[in-house]
Amino acid sequence: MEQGTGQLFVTSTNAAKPAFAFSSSGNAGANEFDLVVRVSDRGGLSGDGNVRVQLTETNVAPAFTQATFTVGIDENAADAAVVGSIDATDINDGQTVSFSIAPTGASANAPFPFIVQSATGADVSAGADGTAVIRVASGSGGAGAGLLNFEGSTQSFEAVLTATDSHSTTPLSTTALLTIQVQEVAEAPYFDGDRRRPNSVRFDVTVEEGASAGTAVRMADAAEETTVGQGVAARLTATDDDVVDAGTVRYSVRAPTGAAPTS
Amino acid sequence: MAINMSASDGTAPAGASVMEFLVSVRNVNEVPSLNASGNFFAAASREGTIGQPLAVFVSDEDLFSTDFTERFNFTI
Repeated sequence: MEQGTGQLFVTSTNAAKPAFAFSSSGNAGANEFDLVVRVSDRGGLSGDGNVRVQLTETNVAPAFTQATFTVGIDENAADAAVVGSIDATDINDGQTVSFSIAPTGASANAPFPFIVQSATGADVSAGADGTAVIRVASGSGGAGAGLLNFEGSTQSFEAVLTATDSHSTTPLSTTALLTIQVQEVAEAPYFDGDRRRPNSVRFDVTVEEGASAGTAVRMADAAEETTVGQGVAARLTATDDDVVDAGTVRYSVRAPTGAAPTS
Repeated sequence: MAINMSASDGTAPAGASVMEFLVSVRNVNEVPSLNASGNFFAAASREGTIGQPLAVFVSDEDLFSTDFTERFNFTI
């Protein structure tokens, strides 16, 4: 209160969470403050008066803790894998916060492999947090989809994350810029680099009985053979997509577990 | 306020002796009262003023004094 004029003010020491928050509880008096104000004149005489302050509801948009967020997701992450969780607060009592996500910038016109969900959908009362959980969209995860490939064309996605309150007539929204970075994961090399067959664990080869040492082994598929010296031999090549592993693939031969030694 | 007083012994002409008095009215302080009628509204979650300054709701006879300026202090 301003002493000389008697002007009343709403003040707060915490701008993010003001002391005055409208209650939607419906309790009589929950939004009323009864004050006794004393007025004193120059001569020292005084009188008291009663003042009732009623709170009126003011909708305030939800707020993110930051304007920009950066999260990471392992390449080839599975469908529904959690990319990250981001909180938003809403100081209005009785309201909930919902989220949406939309690609922006360089990601605007490309496949966007993420969705956002509310963590619980629970009521976000004054001062409480609402949590947006960003996940890999259905059908976008795994190596097969190829959308989360560190060695691919897109290593980073940009999106606008929007938090919207549940005000009945004039819901308000806040946005934050979200960057999702695809992170490198060490991947095993795979055979048959020309026609990637990650699940190929068996190649059918032939060799004539009684063949002497050094005789070329032939592939059942001629396309998978290569010229070696004056002859033709099976071509078993392997590829490793990891950039750091380029040129480091090594080969070895061993007998399957339980089989007779290779000779 | 000026008042003329004359004195006469009954033989001399009236007003032979005149004395003038200057009478000043001294202000006696009156008790202020506050009648803040109606409700004051504050917008929740927003910092700012609440209603009108309470000074406009103060009644005090001293406010009508032409040669005395009243001032008030408010406490809550």
